[in-house]
Amino acid sequence: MPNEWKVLTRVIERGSEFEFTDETYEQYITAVSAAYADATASRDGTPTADDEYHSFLVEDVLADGRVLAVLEDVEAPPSKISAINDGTIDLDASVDQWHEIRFTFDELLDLLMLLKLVRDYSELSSSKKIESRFKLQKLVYLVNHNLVNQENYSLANSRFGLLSKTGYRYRYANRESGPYSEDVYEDKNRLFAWELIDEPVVGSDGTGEVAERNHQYAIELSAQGEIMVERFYDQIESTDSFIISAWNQAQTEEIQKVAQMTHSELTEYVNQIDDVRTTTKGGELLIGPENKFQETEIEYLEDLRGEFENARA
Amino acid sequence: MIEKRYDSLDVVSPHEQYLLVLSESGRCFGSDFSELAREIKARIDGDELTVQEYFHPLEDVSNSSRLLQNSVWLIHWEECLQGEDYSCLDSFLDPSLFPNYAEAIICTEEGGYDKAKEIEREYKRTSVAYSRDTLFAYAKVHFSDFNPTHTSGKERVKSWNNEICERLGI
Repeated sequence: MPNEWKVLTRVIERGSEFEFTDETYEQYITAVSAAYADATASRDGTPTADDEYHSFLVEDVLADGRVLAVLEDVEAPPSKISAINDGTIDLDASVDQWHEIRFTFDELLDLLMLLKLVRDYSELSSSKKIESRFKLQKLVYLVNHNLVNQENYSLANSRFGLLSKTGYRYRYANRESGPYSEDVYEDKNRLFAWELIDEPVVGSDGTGEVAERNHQYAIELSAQGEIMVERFYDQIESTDSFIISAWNQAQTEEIQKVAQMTHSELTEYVNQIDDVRTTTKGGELLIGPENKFQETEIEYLEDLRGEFENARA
Repeated sequence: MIEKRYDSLDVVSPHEQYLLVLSESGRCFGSDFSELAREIKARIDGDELTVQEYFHPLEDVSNSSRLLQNSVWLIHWEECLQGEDYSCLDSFLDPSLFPNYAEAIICTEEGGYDKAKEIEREYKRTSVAYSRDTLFAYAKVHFSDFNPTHTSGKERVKSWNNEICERLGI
Protein backbone atom coordinates (compact mmCIF):
# COMPACT_ATOMS: atom_id res chain seq x y z
CA MET A 1 0.00 0.00 0.00
CA PRO A 2 1.68 3.22 -1.14
CA ASN A 3 2.43 5.88 1.47
CA GLU A 4 1.38 3.60 4.29
CA TRP A 5 4.08 5.06 6.51
CA LYS A 6 1.51 7.69 7.44
CA VAL A 7 0.00 5.27 9.94
CA LEU A 8 2.89 6.44 12.13
CA THR A 9 1.35 9.89 12.33
CA ARG A 10 -1.58 8.65 14.41
CA VAL A 11 -0.39 5.43 16.06
CA ILE A 12 0.83 7.15 19.22
CA GLU A 13 -2.45 8.93 19.94
CA ARG A 14 -4.69 6.09 18.91
CA GLY A 15 -6.43 4.41 21.83
CA SER A 16 -5.01 6.78 24.44
CA GLU A 17 -5.83 10.18 25.87
CA PHE A 18 -2.46 11.51 24.89
CA GLU A 19 -2.45 14.29 22.31
CA PHE A 20 0.49 16.00 20.68
CA THR A 21 0.75 19.77 20.71
CA ASP A 22 1.93 21.84 17.74
CA GLU A 23 5.46 21.74 19.05
CA THR A 24 5.64 18.12 20.21
CA TYR A 25 4.18 16.68 17.01
CA GLU A 26 6.73 18.68 15.02
CA GLN A 27 9.51 17.11 17.12
CA TYR A 28 8.02 13.65 16.69
CA ILE A 29 7.50 13.75 12.93
CA THR A 30 10.93 15.30 12.38
CA ALA A 31 12.52 12.42 14.32
CA VAL A 32 10.39 9.89 12.41
CA SER A 33 11.45 11.34 9.05
CA ALA A 34 15.14 11.26 10.01
CA ALA A 35 14.89 7.67 11.25
CA TYR A 36 12.93 6.64 8.16
CA ALA A 37 15.45 8.20 5.77
CA ASP A 38 18.47 6.74 7.58
CA ALA A 39 16.95 3.27 7.77
CA THR A 40 16.04 3.42 4.10
CA ALA A 41 19.60 4.34 3.17
CA SER A 42 21.19 1.67 5.35
CA ARG A 43 18.89 -1.08 4.02
CA ASP A 44 19.13 0.03 0.37
CA GLY A 45 15.42 0.86 0.34
CA THR A 46 12.28 -0.10 2.20
CA PRO A 47 10.62 -3.54 2.04
CA THR A 48 7.84 -3.87 -0.49
CA ALA A 49 5.93 -6.75 1.12
CA ASP A 50 3.26 -5.52 3.55
CA ASP A 51 4.26 -7.54 6.62
CA GLU A 52 7.95 -6.76 6.18
CA TYR A 53 7.16 -3.11 5.71
CA HIS A 54 5.14 -3.01 8.93
CA SER A 55 8.06 -4.59 10.77
CA PHE A 56 10.33 -1.98 9.23
CA LEU A 57 8.10 0.81 10.51
CA VAL A 58 8.14 -0.56 14.04
CA GLU A 59 11.69 -1.88 14.36
CA ASP A 60 13.64 0.58 12.23
CA VAL A 61 11.63 3.76 12.59
CA LEU A 62 9.55 3.85 15.79
CA ALA A 63 12.23 2.03 17.77
CA ASP A 64 14.95 4.40 16.56
CA GLY A 65 16.63 6.10 19.50
CA ARG A 66 15.77 9.58 18.27
CA VAL A 67 12.06 8.76 18.01
CA LEU A 68 11.96 7.08 21.42
CA ALA A 69 13.81 10.02 22.97
CA VAL A 70 11.18 12.43 21.65
CA LEU A 71 8.34 10.22 22.85
CA GLU A 72 9.81 10.06 26.34
CA ASP A 73 10.50 13.78 26.33
CA VAL A 74 6.92 14.67 25.37
CA GLU A 75 5.58 12.19 27.94
CA ALA A 76 3.88 9.86 25.51
CA PRO A 77 2.02 6.99 27.22
CA PRO A 78 4.55 4.55 28.75
CA SER A 79 2.45 1.66 27.42
CA LYS A 80 3.07 2.89 23.87
CA ILE A 81 6.79 3.22 24.43
CA SER A 82 7.08 -0.25 25.94
CA ALA A 83 4.96 -1.66 23.09
CA ILE A 84 7.40 -0.13 20.62
CA ASN A 85 10.35 -1.55 22.52
CA ASP A 86 8.97 -5.07 22.58
CA GLY A 87 7.59 -4.88 19.02
CA THR A 88 3.93 -5.31 19.95
CA ILE A 89 2.60 -1.87 19.12
CA ASP A 90 -0.64 -2.23 17.21
CA LEU A 91 -0.12 -0.82 13.76
CA ASP A 92 -2.96 -2.90 12.32
CA ALA A 93 -5.75 -0.74 13.71
CA SER A 94 -4.11 2.34 12.24
CA VAL A 95 -3.61 0.51 8.96
CA ASP A 96 -7.30 -0.43 8.89
CA GLN A 97 -8.24 3.18 9.47
CA TRP A 98 -5.84 4.20 6.71
CA HIS A 99 -7.53 1.83 4.29
CA GLU A 100 -10.98 3.14 5.06
CA ILE A 101 -12.37 5.26 2.29
CA ARG A 102 -15.94 6.31 2.47
CA PHE A 103 -17.56 6.54 -0.92
CA THR A 104 -19.75 9.50 -1.69
CA PHE A 105 -23.27 8.69 -2.71
CA ASP A 106 -22.79 10.13 -6.19
CA GLU A 107 -19.72 7.96 -6.71
CA LEU A 108 -21.65 4.87 -5.68
CA LEU A 109 -24.41 5.56 -8.17
CA ASP A 110 -21.96 6.15 -11.00
CA LEU A 111 -20.29 2.84 -10.27
CA LEU A 112 -23.58 0.99 -9.98
CA MET A 113 -24.94 2.50 -13.20
CA LEU A 114 -21.70 1.60 -14.97
CA LEU A 115 -22.12 -2.01 -13.89
CA LYS A 116 -25.72 -1.96 -15.04
CA LEU A 117 -24.61 -0.52 -18.36
CA VAL A 118 -22.21 -3.42 -18.85
CA ARG A 119 -24.92 -5.93 -18.03
CA ASP A 120 -27.69 -4.39 -20.14
CA TYR A 121 -25.40 -3.91 -23.11
CA SER A 122 -24.07 -7.46 -22.85
CA GLU A 123 -27.59 -8.86 -22.94
CA LEU A 124 -28.42 -7.06 -26.17
CA SER A 125 -25.11 -7.49 -27.92
CA SER A 126 -24.35 -10.63 -29.93
CA SER A 127 -20.83 -10.65 -28.45
CA LYS A 128 -22.30 -10.71 -24.90
CA LYS A 129 -19.86 -8.07 -23.76
CA ILE A 130 -18.91 -4.46 -24.47
CA GLU A 131 -16.50 -5.03 -27.31
CA SER A 132 -13.91 -2.37 -26.49
CA ARG A 133 -12.85 0.42 -24.15
CA PHE A 134 -13.63 2.67 -27.11
CA LYS A 135 -17.25 1.55 -27.06
CA LEU A 136 -17.55 1.98 -23.30
CA GLN A 137 -16.27 5.54 -23.54
CA LYS A 138 -18.70 6.42 -26.32
CA LEU A 139 -21.66 4.69 -24.67
CA VAL A 140 -21.30 6.65 -21.45
CA TYR A 141 -20.90 9.84 -23.44
CA LEU A 142 -24.07 9.08 -25.39
CA VAL A 143 -26.03 8.54 -22.17
CA ASN A 144 -25.06 11.98 -20.89
CA HIS A 145 -25.56 13.51 -24.32
CA ASN A 146 -29.06 12.04 -24.37
CA LEU A 147 -29.79 13.78 -21.05
CA VAL A 148 -28.45 17.09 -22.35
CA ASN A 149 -31.09 16.97 -25.03
CA GLN A 150 -33.95 16.43 -22.60
CA GLU A 151 -35.89 19.36 -21.27
CA ASN A 152 -35.09 20.37 -17.72
CA TYR A 153 -38.33 22.03 -16.74
CA SER A 154 -37.16 23.44 -13.46
CA LEU A 155 -34.09 25.25 -14.77
CA ALA A 156 -34.95 27.56 -17.61
CA ASN A 157 -32.38 27.95 -20.38
CA SER A 158 -29.98 25.40 -18.96
CA ARG A 159 -27.71 24.37 -21.79
CA PHE A 160 -27.11 21.04 -20.10
CA GLY A 161 -30.78 20.03 -20.12
CA LEU A 162 -31.58 17.18 -17.78
CA LEU A 163 -27.86 16.50 -17.35
CA SER A 164 -27.90 19.40 -14.89
CA LYS A 165 -29.81 17.09 -12.56
CA THR A 166 -28.84 13.54 -13.34
CA GLY A 167 -26.45 11.31 -15.26
CA TYR A 168 -22.80 10.40 -14.83
CA ARG A 169 -20.63 13.03 -13.14
CA TYR A 170 -17.90 12.49 -15.70
CA ARG A 171 -16.13 15.23 -17.60
CA TYR A 172 -15.58 14.58 -21.32
CA ALA A 173 -12.99 16.04 -23.64
CA ASN A 174 -12.82 15.70 -27.41
CA ARG A 175 -9.77 13.61 -28.29
CA GLU A 176 -8.51 12.27 -31.61
CA SER A 177 -10.53 9.16 -30.79
CA GLY A 178 -13.63 11.26 -30.12
CA PRO A 179 -15.33 11.83 -26.76
CA TYR A 180 -13.09 10.57 -23.98
CA SER A 181 -13.32 10.88 -20.22
CA GLU A 182 -10.46 10.15 -17.88
CA ASP A 183 -13.06 9.79 -15.13
CA VAL A 184 -14.69 6.90 -16.98
CA TYR A 185 -11.29 5.31 -17.42
CA GLU A 186 -10.58 5.66 -13.71
CA ASP A 187 -13.90 4.21 -12.61
CA LYS A 188 -13.54 1.35 -15.06
CA ASN A 189 -10.14 0.66 -13.52
CA ARG A 190 -11.63 0.71 -10.03
CA LEU A 191 -14.27 -1.84 -11.01
CA PHE A 192 -11.56 -4.00 -12.55
CA ALA A 193 -9.34 -3.70 -9.48
CA TRP A 194 -12.25 -4.80 -7.29
CA GLU A 195 -12.85 -7.76 -9.61
CA LEU A 196 -16.36 -6.65 -10.54
CA ILE A 197 -15.55 -6.58 -14.26
CA ASP A 198 -13.13 -8.45 -16.49
CA GLU A 199 -11.23 -7.02 -19.42
CA PRO A 200 -10.20 -9.86 -21.74
CA VAL A 201 -7.98 -9.01 -24.70
CA VAL A 202 -10.11 -9.65 -27.78
CA GLY A 203 -7.95 -8.27 -30.56
CA SER A 204 -4.32 -7.68 -31.38
CA ASP A 205 -5.09 -4.37 -33.06
CA GLY A 206 -5.94 -1.30 -31.03
CA THR A 207 -9.02 0.85 -31.52
CA GLY A 208 -7.24 4.18 -31.39
CA GLU A 209 -8.77 4.86 -27.99
CA VAL A 210 -6.59 6.12 -25.17
CA ALA A 211 -5.03 3.09 -23.43
CA GLU A 212 -6.23 0.85 -26.24
CA ARG A 213 -3.70 1.58 -28.93
CA ASN A 214 -1.99 -1.80 -29.09
CA HIS A 215 -4.68 -4.26 -28.06
CA GLN A 216 -8.45 -4.29 -27.92
CA TYR A 217 -10.01 -4.97 -24.51
CA ALA A 218 -13.60 -6.10 -24.06
CA ILE A 219 -15.48 -5.37 -20.85
CA GLU A 220 -17.77 -7.87 -19.16
CA LEU A 221 -19.14 -8.45 -15.69
CA SER A 222 -17.28 -10.88 -13.47
CA ALA A 223 -19.29 -13.38 -11.45
CA GLN A 224 -19.02 -11.02 -8.49
CA GLY A 225 -20.15 -8.10 -10.64
CA GLU A 226 -23.20 -10.09 -11.77
CA ILE A 227 -24.16 -10.65 -8.15
CA MET A 228 -23.72 -6.96 -7.37
CA VAL A 229 -25.92 -5.82 -10.26
CA GLU A 230 -28.54 -8.47 -9.57
CA ARG A 231 -28.93 -7.24 -6.04
CA PHE A 232 -29.89 -3.70 -7.07
CA TYR A 233 -31.25 -4.21 -10.58
CA ASP A 234 -34.95 -4.23 -9.77
CA GLN A 235 -34.61 -1.30 -7.43
CA ILE A 236 -33.23 0.82 -10.26
CA GLU A 237 -35.78 -0.41 -12.78
CA SER A 238 -38.75 0.22 -10.51
CA THR A 239 -37.50 3.31 -8.71
CA ASP A 240 -39.82 6.14 -7.73
CA SER A 241 -36.97 8.61 -8.12
CA PHE A 242 -37.44 10.65 -11.30
CA ILE A 243 -33.77 11.42 -11.65
CA ILE A 244 -32.71 7.80 -11.46
CA SER A 245 -35.46 6.63 -13.79
CA ALA A 246 -34.59 9.38 -16.31
CA TRP A 247 -30.93 8.38 -16.17
CA ASN A 248 -31.77 4.70 -16.53
CA GLN A 249 -34.15 5.42 -19.40
CA ALA A 250 -31.52 7.45 -21.28
CA GLN A 251 -29.02 4.66 -20.74
CA THR A 252 -31.42 2.01 -22.01
CA GLU A 253 -32.19 4.05 -25.13
CA GLU A 254 -28.54 4.52 -26.01
CA ILE A 255 -27.69 0.87 -25.42
CA GLN A 256 -30.47 -0.15 -27.79
CA LYS A 257 -29.14 2.20 -30.47
CA VAL A 258 -25.53 1.16 -30.15
CA ALA A 259 -25.59 -2.56 -29.28
CA GLN A 260 -25.57 -3.77 -32.88
CA MET A 261 -23.24 -1.10 -34.28
CA THR A 262 -19.80 -1.99 -35.56
CA HIS A 263 -16.79 0.08 -34.53
CA SER A 264 -16.92 2.16 -37.70
CA GLU A 265 -20.68 2.67 -37.47
CA LEU A 266 -20.35 3.87 -33.90
CA THR A 267 -17.48 6.17 -34.85
CA GLU A 268 -19.57 7.68 -37.61
CA TYR A 269 -22.62 7.95 -35.36
CA VAL A 270 -20.70 9.82 -32.65
CA ASN A 271 -18.75 12.03 -35.03
CA GLN A 272 -21.89 13.45 -36.58
CA ILE A 273 -23.05 14.87 -33.23
CA ASP A 274 -22.86 18.66 -33.46
CA ASP A 275 -20.84 19.16 -30.27
CA VAL A 276 -18.30 16.54 -31.35
CA ARG A 277 -17.97 18.11 -34.79
CA THR A 278 -17.57 21.65 -33.51
CA THR A 279 -15.43 21.15 -30.40
CA THR A 280 -11.72 21.46 -31.05
CA LYS A 281 -9.51 18.47 -30.31
CA GLY A 282 -8.48 18.68 -26.69
CA GLY A 283 -11.44 20.91 -25.89
CA GLU A 284 -14.02 20.24 -23.21
CA LEU A 285 -17.10 18.50 -24.54
CA LEU A 286 -19.43 17.75 -21.68
CA ILE A 287 -19.50 18.14 -17.90
CA GLY A 288 -21.68 15.90 -15.77
CA PRO A 289 -23.57 17.15 -12.71
CA GLU A 290 -21.31 17.66 -9.70
CA ASN A 291 -23.92 16.74 -7.13
CA LYS A 292 -27.01 14.84 -7.98
CA PHE A 293 -28.84 13.39 -5.06
CA GLN A 294 -29.77 13.78 -1.46
CA GLU A 295 -28.78 10.72 0.52
CA THR A 296 -32.34 10.35 1.79
CA GLU A 297 -33.57 9.83 -1.74
CA ILE A 298 -32.34 6.27 -2.06
CA GLU A 299 -33.33 3.82 0.62
CA TYR A 300 -30.70 1.22 -0.29
CA LEU A 301 -27.76 3.60 0.11
CA GLU A 302 -26.08 1.84 3.02
CA ASP A 303 -26.50 -1.57 1.37
CA LEU A 304 -24.89 -0.19 -1.77
CA ARG A 305 -22.04 1.36 0.17
CA GLY A 306 -21.47 -1.88 2.03
CA GLU A 307 -21.35 -3.91 -1.17
CA PHE A 308 -18.73 -1.67 -2.76
CA GLU A 309 -16.66 -1.50 0.40
CA ASN A 310 -16.70 -5.29 0.58
CA ALA A 311 -15.71 -5.52 -3.07
CA ARG A 312 -12.82 -3.17 -2.52
CA ALA A 313 -11.53 -4.90 0.59
CA MET B 1 7.89 16.15 -18.35
CA ILE B 2 6.97 12.51 -18.66
CA GLU B 3 7.70 11.25 -22.12
CA LYS B 4 7.91 7.49 -22.02
CA ARG B 5 7.32 4.37 -20.00
CA TYR B 6 10.12 2.75 -18.08
CA ASP B 7 10.47 -0.78 -19.37
CA SER B 8 13.04 -1.89 -16.79
CA LEU B 9 14.65 -0.71 -13.59
CA ASP B 10 17.89 -0.06 -15.44
CA VAL B 11 16.47 2.99 -17.20
CA VAL B 12 14.86 4.55 -14.13
CA SER B 13 17.92 6.38 -12.84
CA PRO B 14 18.80 9.13 -13.00
CA HIS B 15 15.27 10.44 -12.74
CA GLU B 16 14.06 14.02 -13.07
CA GLN B 17 11.04 15.00 -11.05
CA TYR B 18 8.87 18.05 -10.53
CA LEU B 19 7.53 19.43 -7.30
CA LEU B 20 4.15 20.97 -8.01
CA VAL B 21 3.19 24.15 -6.17
CA LEU B 22 -0.42 25.33 -6.11
CA SER B 23 -0.62 28.72 -4.45
CA GLU B 24 -1.89 32.23 -5.22
CA SER B 25 0.79 34.14 -3.35
CA GLY B 26 3.74 31.84 -3.96
CA ARG B 27 4.53 32.06 -0.25
CA CYS B 28 3.95 29.90 2.81
CA PHE B 29 5.25 29.71 6.38
CA GLY B 30 6.92 33.09 5.95
CA SER B 31 8.99 32.06 2.91
CA ASP B 32 8.68 31.84 -0.83
CA PHE B 33 7.77 28.35 -1.96
CA SER B 34 10.95 28.34 -4.03
CA GLU B 35 12.97 28.70 -0.82
CA LEU B 36 10.98 25.90 0.80
CA ALA B 37 11.64 23.78 -2.28
CA ARG B 38 15.38 24.43 -1.95
CA GLU B 39 15.27 23.19 1.63
CA ILE B 40 13.33 20.09 0.58
CA LYS B 41 15.84 19.32 -2.16
CA ALA B 42 18.74 19.74 0.25
CA ARG B 43 17.31 16.88 2.32
CA ILE B 44 17.18 14.35 -0.53
CA ASP B 45 19.66 11.48 -0.28
CA GLY B 46 21.84 10.39 -3.20
CA ASP B 47 22.34 11.94 -6.61
CA GLU B 48 20.05 9.82 -8.75
CA LEU B 49 17.05 12.10 -8.33
CA THR B 50 16.85 15.72 -9.43
CA VAL B 51 13.85 17.76 -8.41
CA GLN B 52 12.63 21.02 -9.86
CA GLU B 53 9.77 23.08 -8.47
CA TYR B 54 6.92 23.89 -10.81
CA PHE B 55 4.38 26.64 -10.13
CA HIS B 56 1.20 25.73 -11.95
CA PRO B 57 -1.18 28.62 -12.73
CA LEU B 58 -4.39 28.31 -10.74
CA GLU B 59 -6.50 29.51 -13.66
CA ASP B 60 -5.51 26.25 -15.37
CA VAL B 61 -5.96 24.06 -12.31
CA SER B 62 -8.44 21.75 -14.03
CA ASN B 63 -5.64 20.61 -16.36
CA SER B 64 -5.28 17.23 -14.69
CA SER B 65 -2.95 15.92 -17.38
CA ARG B 66 -0.36 18.49 -16.39
CA LEU B 67 -0.85 18.14 -12.65
CA LEU B 68 -0.54 14.37 -12.76
CA GLN B 69 3.05 14.59 -13.95
CA ASN B 70 4.35 15.67 -10.54
CA SER B 71 5.03 13.18 -7.78
CA VAL B 72 4.70 15.77 -5.01
CA TRP B 73 1.94 18.33 -4.82
CA LEU B 74 2.28 21.23 -2.39
CA ILE B 75 -1.11 22.88 -1.99
CA HIS B 76 -1.74 26.01 0.02
CA TRP B 77 -4.84 25.24 2.07
CA GLU B 78 -6.11 28.78 2.69
CA GLU B 79 -5.50 29.88 -0.90
CA CYS B 80 -6.64 26.83 -2.83
CA LEU B 81 -8.86 24.47 -0.84
CA GLN B 82 -10.46 26.22 2.10
CA GLY B 83 -12.81 28.39 0.02
CA GLU B 84 -13.61 25.56 -2.39
CA ASP B 85 -12.73 27.88 -5.29
CA TYR B 86 -11.11 25.05 -7.20
CA SER B 87 -13.54 22.19 -6.75
CA CYS B 88 -11.78 19.98 -9.29
CA LEU B 89 -8.95 19.58 -6.76
CA ASP B 90 -11.30 17.57 -4.56
CA SER B 91 -11.64 15.05 -7.37
CA PHE B 92 -7.92 14.99 -8.07
CA LEU B 93 -7.17 14.33 -4.40
CA ASP B 94 -9.72 11.55 -4.08
CA PRO B 95 -7.77 8.71 -2.44
CA SER B 96 -8.88 6.16 -4.98
CA LEU B 97 -7.83 8.36 -7.90
CA PHE B 98 -4.67 10.04 -6.66
CA PRO B 99 -1.71 8.24 -8.25
CA ASN B 100 0.01 5.54 -6.25
CA TYR B 101 3.32 6.67 -4.77
CA ALA B 102 2.55 10.33 -5.36
CA GLU B 103 2.32 12.58 -2.32
CA ALA B 104 -0.04 15.50 -1.70
CA ILE B 105 1.08 17.82 1.07
CA ILE B 106 -1.47 20.43 2.07
CA CYS B 107 0.08 23.42 3.82
CA THR B 108 -2.03 25.31 6.34
CA GLU B 109 -0.79 28.47 8.04
CA GLU B 110 -3.59 28.80 10.58
CA GLY B 111 -4.68 26.39 13.28
CA GLY B 112 -1.59 24.26 13.82
CA TYR B 113 -1.73 20.55 14.61
CA ASP B 114 -5.45 20.45 15.40
CA LYS B 115 -6.32 22.07 12.10
CA ALA B 116 -4.00 19.67 10.28
CA LYS B 117 -5.82 16.68 11.78
CA GLU B 118 -9.16 18.17 10.81
CA ILE B 119 -8.03 18.63 7.20
CA GLU B 120 -6.59 15.11 7.07
CA ARG B 121 -9.98 13.72 8.02
CA GLU B 122 -11.47 15.46 4.99
CA TYR B 123 -8.63 14.78 2.58
CA LYS B 124 -7.67 11.24 3.45
CA ARG B 125 -4.18 10.09 2.57
CA THR B 126 -2.82 13.59 2.19
CA SER B 127 -0.25 14.93 4.61
CA VAL B 128 -1.07 18.25 6.20
CA ALA B 129 1.88 20.44 7.18
CA TYR B 130 1.34 23.34 9.54
CA SER B 131 4.96 24.52 9.77
CA ARG B 132 8.20 24.47 7.83
CA ASP B 133 9.52 21.52 9.80
CA THR B 134 6.43 19.37 9.35
CA LEU B 135 6.56 20.12 5.62
CA PHE B 136 10.24 19.15 5.43
CA ALA B 137 9.57 15.96 7.39
CA TYR B 138 6.79 14.78 5.07
CA ALA B 139 8.82 15.60 1.97
CA LYS B 140 11.87 13.83 3.41
CA VAL B 141 9.97 10.57 3.90
CA HIS B 142 8.47 10.81 0.42
CA PHE B 143 11.84 11.29 -1.24
CA SER B 144 13.34 8.48 0.83
CA ASP B 145 10.87 6.09 -0.78
CA PHE B 146 10.53 7.77 -4.15
CA ASN B 147 14.20 7.80 -4.97
CA PRO B 148 16.03 5.68 -7.56
CA THR B 149 19.14 5.60 -5.39
CA HIS B 150 17.66 2.39 -3.92
CA THR B 151 16.22 -0.65 -5.66
CA SER B 152 12.81 -0.35 -3.98
CA GLY B 153 12.82 3.36 -4.86
CA LYS B 154 13.46 2.49 -8.50
CA GLU B 155 10.47 0.18 -8.42
CA ARG B 156 8.29 2.93 -7.00
CA VAL B 157 9.46 5.50 -9.53
CA LYS B 158 8.91 3.02 -12.37
CA SER B 159 5.45 2.09 -11.12
CA TRP B 160 4.44 5.74 -10.70
CA ASN B 161 5.87 6.79 -14.07
CA ASN B 162 4.10 3.99 -15.91
CA GLU B 163 0.80 4.63 -14.13
CA ILE B 164 0.92 8.25 -15.25
CA CYS B 165 1.81 7.18 -18.80
CA GLU B 166 -1.22 4.88 -18.78
CA ARG B 167 -3.49 7.68 -17.64
CA LEU B 168 -2.08 10.08 -20.22
CA GLY B 169 -2.34 7.58 -23.02
CA ILE B 170 1.43 7.45 -23.58
